[in-house]
Amino acid sequence: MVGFTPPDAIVNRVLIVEDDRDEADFLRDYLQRQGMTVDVARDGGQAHASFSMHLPDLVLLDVMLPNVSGFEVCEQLKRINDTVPVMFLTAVDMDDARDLARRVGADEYMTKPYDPDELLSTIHQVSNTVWSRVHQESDSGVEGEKIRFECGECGKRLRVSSAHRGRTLNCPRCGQSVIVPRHV
Amino acid sequence: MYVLVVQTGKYKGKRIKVSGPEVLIGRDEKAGIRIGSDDVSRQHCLLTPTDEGVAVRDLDSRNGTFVDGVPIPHTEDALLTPGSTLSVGPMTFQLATTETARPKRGGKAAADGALSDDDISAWLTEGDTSDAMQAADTTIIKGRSALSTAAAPIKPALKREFKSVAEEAEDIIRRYRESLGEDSADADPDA
Repeated sequence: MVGFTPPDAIVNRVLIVEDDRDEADFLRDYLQRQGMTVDVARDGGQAHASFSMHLPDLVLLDVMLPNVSGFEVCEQLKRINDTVPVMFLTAVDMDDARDLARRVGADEYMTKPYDPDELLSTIHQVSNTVWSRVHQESDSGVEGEKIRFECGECGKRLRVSSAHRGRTLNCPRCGQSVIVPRHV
Repeated sequence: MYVLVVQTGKYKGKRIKVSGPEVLIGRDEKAGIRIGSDDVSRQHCLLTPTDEGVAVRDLDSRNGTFVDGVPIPHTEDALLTPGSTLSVGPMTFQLATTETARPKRGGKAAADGALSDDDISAWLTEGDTSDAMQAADTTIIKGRSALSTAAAPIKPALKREFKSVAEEAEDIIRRYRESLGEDSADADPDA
């Protein structure tokens, strides 16, 4: 694959997971005007169903949802299919939230209020990044490579096969459960 | 002139000058002393050299800042005097003056010399199977030396333990709502 330049990823279908109706409607209308097909889910359950039935090209996800948080939804969706980019779009502007989003596999974290044009640009950017990562990884066979990360509890440096991305394991030192990051 | 002497890990004995009117410690790229660890907040604490020592202010960090093992209240400055220790996340430093601080031998780079990216990269790729607790890299920017060290076996007393993503998410959302002045039990999840 030397010299191969991947084309831009195409975003045709977007799944919006947002419980605020006005916000969801605005997003849906805006993205539809950009020529995208948009599905809207109000909570984690609807998101799971929609994701399974109509696999989107990208997911826009709120943090604060009824019953189950966006972080858990992200973890669940990534477990189903980690090639679909998941992008948080939330008012929660906190470092800890960004950190957790990264650990559950999110590909981008954007805070409200946002510029719709910037949102659109970021959607394409994230989509391209994930597309490239997925295809370059499958082409180069990095599944056999190791991922290095630290236990968030005791700081022990861990090294596991990249095949374990997104899985939960127990730290051999402190026993705390840790999620193998999808992106390091 | 005050210096912070690294007390833990592979680069124990390394010295970091506390220069300028203020020095920020944190994960933030703008930090004068940058510690790349999840246990360290982006803007963790602020050091201000004074005639009596170095005033330390915790910037409402998640895991707290410790002087001689004692957490600093968020609302008050603590005075770090020569000989006292400062703990930030996995790192522990001892304050000294340029007259008393002496670099120790060992390490890949000279005591006061800047570490290259290769040094840091080399450190990051070694010691994966070591039982010694390892810290993330520490970078001192603005043309000063860059360090990476193994960490002290310090467990911040204020660190919350989370058993699941759900628990951690709940904590984040609760703190976010509190920051808005909402009652977390009654708040409507519209954010």
